[in-house]
Amino acid sequence: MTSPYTGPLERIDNYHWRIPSHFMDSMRVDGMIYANDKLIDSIRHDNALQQVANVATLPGIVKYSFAMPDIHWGYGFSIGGMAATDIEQGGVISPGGVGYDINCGVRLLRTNILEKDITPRLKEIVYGLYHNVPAGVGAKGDIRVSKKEQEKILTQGAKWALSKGLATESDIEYTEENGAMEGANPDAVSDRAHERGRKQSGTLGSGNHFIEIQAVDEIYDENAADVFGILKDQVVVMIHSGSRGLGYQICDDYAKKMVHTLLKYDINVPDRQLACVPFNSDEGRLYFGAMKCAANYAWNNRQCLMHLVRQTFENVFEQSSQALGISLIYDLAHNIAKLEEHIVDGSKKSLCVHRKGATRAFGPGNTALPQRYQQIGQPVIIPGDMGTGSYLLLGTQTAMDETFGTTCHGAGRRLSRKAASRDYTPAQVKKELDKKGIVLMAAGKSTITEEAPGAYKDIDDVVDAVNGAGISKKVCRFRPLGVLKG
Amino acid sequence: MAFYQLLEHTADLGIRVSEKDLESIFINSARAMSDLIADLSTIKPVIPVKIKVQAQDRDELLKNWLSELLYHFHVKEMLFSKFDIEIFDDKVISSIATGEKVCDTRHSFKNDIKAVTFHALNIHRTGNQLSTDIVFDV
Repeated sequence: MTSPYTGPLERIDNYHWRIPSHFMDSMRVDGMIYANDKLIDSIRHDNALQQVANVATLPGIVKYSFAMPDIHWGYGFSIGGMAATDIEQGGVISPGGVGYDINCGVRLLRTNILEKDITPRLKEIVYGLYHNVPAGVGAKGDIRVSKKEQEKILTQGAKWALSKGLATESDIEYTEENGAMEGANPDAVSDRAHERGRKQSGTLGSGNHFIEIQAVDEIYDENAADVFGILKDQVVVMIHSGSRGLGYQICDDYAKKMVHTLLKYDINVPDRQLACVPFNSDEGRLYFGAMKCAANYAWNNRQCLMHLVRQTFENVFEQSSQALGISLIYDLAHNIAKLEEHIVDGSKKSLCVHRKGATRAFGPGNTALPQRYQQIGQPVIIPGDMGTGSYLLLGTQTAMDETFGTTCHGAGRRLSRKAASRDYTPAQVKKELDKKGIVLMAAGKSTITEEAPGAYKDIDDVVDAVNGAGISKKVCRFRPLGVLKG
Repeated sequence: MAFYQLLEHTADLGIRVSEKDLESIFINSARAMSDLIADLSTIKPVIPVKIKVQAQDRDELLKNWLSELLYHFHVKEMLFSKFDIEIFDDKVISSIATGEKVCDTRHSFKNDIKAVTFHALNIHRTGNQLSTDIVFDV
């Protein structure tokens, strides 16, 4: 099923590689890959680069079909890619460019707790999370809502959680889009998608979704760390989850519809999963409206999960979450499409920016950011595998100039789930984590092997590549202490 | 004898099903999907559910039918192990899927299949067999 990429790949410098547009007649732009010499061989190993070339055929695409260093094979679009289309020039929107798990994303919480103070209670906290947070296949949340109430979640996003006492004003301020994209259209969401979403608010999901307790391991940018309220050995919590079944169903519904409208818009795609419509079309508007619903649902979901984390910490430490200093540093999406203005060939353009397994990384001075962060740039949260580490980075002006404000999203898989399950046993993985003092609870047994640290690329290499290319700047590194997997 | 083959796929789950005829491809793809979610042998065929689906070609028909079975798992909490089907003109499938409600004590979940994708889905003839790959998003 996986076959290595055998097409042309030109090395430009230490961090940039290009797929020239003459590789395929239908390519409208070059492919541009951000990587380093250590990663480029493994990037060639599956067919992700062919997908980068395929994406370059989309109508209205501008500048490049982008790939980040954590790229791997996906559906239509690879995971770890970005493509922006000019909506005034027939640029398209594609559900494949967002992904099934719309607004899969990550949030980072800080605390006033130090590692030495959490160590005696680490098991209690992880077990507490395991019991309090619905996780794994078929898990249902405790937040049950009517269809009418769910429509409020789809339009209000994390602000719904605020209205129910499950969030603070500060949580909303430090969430991308303040927790909700405007213009969400619940009428564009099928009954089936509504049904899938209703039982799953406040659930973690499974697979690579997690809640991880970490300690600040190393600080690279003291000034930025100070702005974020970060100290060495401080405990932070990372939450990785998305829009659950609702997002999946919306993607499926619209991908199916768009396969049948390709002829109507005279669009040829090399892969059915690249099915798309002009952004400025009825179908495009409907999908974007539905996508925003899923995005808002996911922000509300991560807010509800944060509430459960707060409750768990309060129970174990017998102090309020305010006293424990549990607050949100930032929450961001890494599977989403946004309408953004960027400079292309010297002119300001309205672009539909698809980030699939890629993170927004706006630089200093951007008014889309919370006021306190505007001077330094947007926090970029990069989760690694459960045995190694994660990073906090900053968006940069270089990202704005080169990649429409985009960077990587995580470590990216190296091994297939089958290969990981073949190469590792649950006991081996647990032993490896035990040696490092990492407490693991997983809702699914197969998750332990499929999510083994060795199944992922080296996060340090991925971050070094984006840092070296200048599209993100390192702030600090975290090491894992305890993890709940779905 | 294995009725499906698990394939290498970096992020998700891929299978290959090879059978003598189209109906068998459909039936064993569905059985494979059930087996990937929870052990097929633990799913009792006691509750029949009628499912009818249509599409523009047989690849889309397979994808749409499997997606319908998946919807029943996620929303109706049904797992299926037995399938009786009729395919008309490669564009319509009329089926009875028989299974039971999800039971936490007897069904041990293996994978959270969230979607059936078009990726690599191409029912084609190799020698005297039909074959297709299917990638499930997990």
